[in-house]
Amino acid sequence: MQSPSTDNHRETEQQPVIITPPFFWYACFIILAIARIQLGGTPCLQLSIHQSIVDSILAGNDWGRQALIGNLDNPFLPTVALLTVNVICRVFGGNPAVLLCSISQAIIMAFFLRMTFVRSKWLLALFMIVLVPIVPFLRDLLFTLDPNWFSAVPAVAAVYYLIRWQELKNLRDLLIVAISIGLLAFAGPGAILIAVFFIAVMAEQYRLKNNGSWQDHRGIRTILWGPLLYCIAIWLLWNSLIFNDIFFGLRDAAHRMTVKILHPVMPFNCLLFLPMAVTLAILSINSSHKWTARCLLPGCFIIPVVAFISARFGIGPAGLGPLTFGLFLSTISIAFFAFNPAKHTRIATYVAAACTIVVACLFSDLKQTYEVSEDPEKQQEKASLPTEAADAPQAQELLDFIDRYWPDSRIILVGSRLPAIYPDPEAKRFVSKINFNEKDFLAQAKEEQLHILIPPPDGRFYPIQNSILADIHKNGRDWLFLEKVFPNNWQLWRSTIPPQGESKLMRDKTDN
Amino acid sequence: MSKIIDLTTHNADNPYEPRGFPQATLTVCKWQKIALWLLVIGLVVWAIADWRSEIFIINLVLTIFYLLSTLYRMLIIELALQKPREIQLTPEELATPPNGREWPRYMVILPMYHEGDILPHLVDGLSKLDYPKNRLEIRLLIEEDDDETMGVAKSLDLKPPFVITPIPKSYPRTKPKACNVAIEDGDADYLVIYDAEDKPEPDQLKKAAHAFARCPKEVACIQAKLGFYNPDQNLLTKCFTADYATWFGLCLPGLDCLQAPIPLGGTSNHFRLNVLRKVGGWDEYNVTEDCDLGLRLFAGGWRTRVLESSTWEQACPNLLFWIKQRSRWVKGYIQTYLIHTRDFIGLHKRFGFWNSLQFHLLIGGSFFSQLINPFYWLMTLIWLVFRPSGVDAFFPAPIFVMGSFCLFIGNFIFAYTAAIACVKRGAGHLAKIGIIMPFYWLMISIAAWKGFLQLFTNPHHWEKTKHFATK
Repeated sequence: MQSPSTDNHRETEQQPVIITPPFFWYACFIILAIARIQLGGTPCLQLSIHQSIVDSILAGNDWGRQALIGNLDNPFLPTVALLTVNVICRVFGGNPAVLLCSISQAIIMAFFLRMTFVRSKWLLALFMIVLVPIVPFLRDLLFTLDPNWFSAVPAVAAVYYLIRWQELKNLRDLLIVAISIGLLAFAGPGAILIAVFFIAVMAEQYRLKNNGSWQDHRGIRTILWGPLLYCIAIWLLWNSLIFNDIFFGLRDAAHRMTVKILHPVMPFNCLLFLPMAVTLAILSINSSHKWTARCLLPGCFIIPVVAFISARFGIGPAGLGPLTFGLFLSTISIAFFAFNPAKHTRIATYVAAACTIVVACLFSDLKQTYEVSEDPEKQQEKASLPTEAADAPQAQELLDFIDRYWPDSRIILVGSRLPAIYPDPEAKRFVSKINFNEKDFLAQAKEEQLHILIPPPDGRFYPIQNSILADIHKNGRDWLFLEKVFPNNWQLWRSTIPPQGESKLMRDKTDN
Repeated sequence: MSKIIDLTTHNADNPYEPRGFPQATLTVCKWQKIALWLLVIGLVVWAIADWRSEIFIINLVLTIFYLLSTLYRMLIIELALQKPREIQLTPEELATPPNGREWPRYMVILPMYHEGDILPHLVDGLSKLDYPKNRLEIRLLIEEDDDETMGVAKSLDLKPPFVITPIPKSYPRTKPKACNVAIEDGDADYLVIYDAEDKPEPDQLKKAAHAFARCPKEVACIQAKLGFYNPDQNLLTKCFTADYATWFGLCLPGLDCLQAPIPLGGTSNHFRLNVLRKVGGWDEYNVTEDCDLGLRLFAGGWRTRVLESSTWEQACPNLLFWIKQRSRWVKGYIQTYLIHTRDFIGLHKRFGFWNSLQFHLLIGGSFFSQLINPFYWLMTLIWLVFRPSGVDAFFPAPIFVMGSFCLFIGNFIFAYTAAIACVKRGAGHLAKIGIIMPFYWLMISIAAWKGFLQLFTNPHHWEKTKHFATK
């Protein structure tokens, strides 16, 4: 029996692939990374939250571990990447966010340059280098320090190796595609959906190519689906280990989908996805890279839909920006190096790709995804504190208030965004919890004096409906006392349960 | 026929090297014995003094070991997948002899013991070997006192190239001893060893002949791939098939890429006969004489390559006999490791740092991980179910990260490579078996402990591979 992958026959009619030594691309990556590090960048809300999680993990705080696993808004993969560079920077110095984004972007650009260069499309490679700073949304994305850039690395790697596999039919390339896509299970809901559809489309194409049967290519489905299903299973297992609830993360994300609409506008202008979809659709018909185009096509629908849901229901965009960057450059690259046998299809592809670039230059806008300010100085200042904290009481104000009478009290913060506003990795005055459990709170209240800060019920920090915090905000609890209502309806509650050992009452049966 | 070389007489006084090279006559040498005792005593004393620090350090060392093993495994798999490393030959190339001259003389040896029932099938299969009969000699090595097999062999009225080679009854009664006897005489350029139930591809000898001609002279051995003709018989054979596919389809080619010492499989090894005689043949005391021979060849500056040709044999379908077979392999690996580390400094001087490290990871690491795996699995299971307090103290952040990598990524890689190997080998329907490989690894560990304990009780006992009737 022959392995299906030993055939090196190239199906595509185009210029032969130029063999370049790997060290050439490692050098390219290093040069790009060093250049990118020099350019710095602008922090964003996602960075603040991920950094809070990282700080908490490094301080050994439980909240950090909980937020690492159970929070789909700020998914596992970018947090782990940021954690790693934080550790590196503690030893060697440097800005972790800049380092992470620089490495991620350098890898991504090296992939695209290699993709085009080795197919003798030197001009296309040069064009991509020029395109990135020209197109506003690409430029904005590039200079936004978002740890989710790391999530785009496996996505782009999958595209690169899928293109290679289509040409060379090397089993190793197929494996790298499968493993790269599998890693997207840790990159947020948008990435998970893209991964599922990517593999599903690939598997289906494989089956159709072989006359609707898997007979001669048994095992390929296992190879394709294995890493993705394993990563999902592992994530569920970690949820079980951390929260004793295998579906905690899913339930938490679903829980925050409330009926009330939060933002009337999309996080970014999705007009860009229309010409991208058209370009990929044309490429899907009969081009030399139709498999890759078909696998990428669902992304054109998934990203805007997930972005819509994210904006409407207060869930973070979780890497949609970098994924869009990868999708855009993939589309442009393939459009200009794929071979199309029919002339009219070729022309249509070029026109669609050109329209995509024009739309990207004129209409795409990522400002709302990242809350990018017009004034870079103000943005720097705002980014040191997440913009959503603009209406939150200052940390010192809170502490000054409670320290008047309860200097030993700590303030409970619930969720993933709130701890980012009041970073306290060692939980000296602010104790973070990923979710609120009344039983746990009461048990802790018996050991120490506690306060709890509850943000306004606008869906940004907790679901508006079916949420304990929303109910407390509205109705309170018998064991909580409303200490103060801050501007914009932020509430500070105090636990009325006396810590054990504090009571002076003599409890003796002989007493009446 | 008169002997060309004596490969059976002990002519040296050194009990560890009766034939002039380190052998498994004795399991441990003096310094190894002392070192082991010192280790045991040291661990006991340390445990009494401060068991917590002891467990911490042991855990740290083992975690680092697991990490290195995992990374090494990933490296050899990656190298194997990057570019096919196996020597491949086309039918057109096989049509003519290598170098345009005559086909080289080939000796095939088949050691057997109580194989009377399968001998006719074996003869039938070997008759189909596509090789000029006048350049071939097939020696059936039958023990002198094995009347059953001898009777069947004589009844078959075998004609050349078949030759019955009686093996005199002498200590030790092992397969490698029989093989050494067989190669003490005879004139051939190349030699291959097969097991009694083997079904090599008919053109394998021609492929090997061409491969030898194509390779430099220091390539003394060419290993063909092994596979099973009963992969679907039951769950055990499926796992065993995946196991073999991983070793022969991925690991060996990866080792070849690294030019690492290659432990040979016990059959379908093709040799330059003069080199085989020069290195002293097989170690008749070692129960994995093939592994040992591969390392001795490497130490002598010879190399082994992998041939894209398969020999099909029977996967043991019975768990009990499978455990026996596997226990012998583990025992042999331990023997081989101990033999080659007798001259510890000499080993590292001969092999160099990188090859020494590979030797330790491949040979030592293999059996060592099989022995300690059950403890870590049990510990993980207890932790997952009961979450006992105090365990965190032994897993500070760096150890936790390394351990998590090995647990979640390492185990996945090992299972996934089984799936990859099945697809690459053309047995893609077995790819899903990767999911249950952890249970197969548990069986390997049970066998490993059996082999380890038998090393002390019966080091030279040969658990013969049992052959079952094929359906």
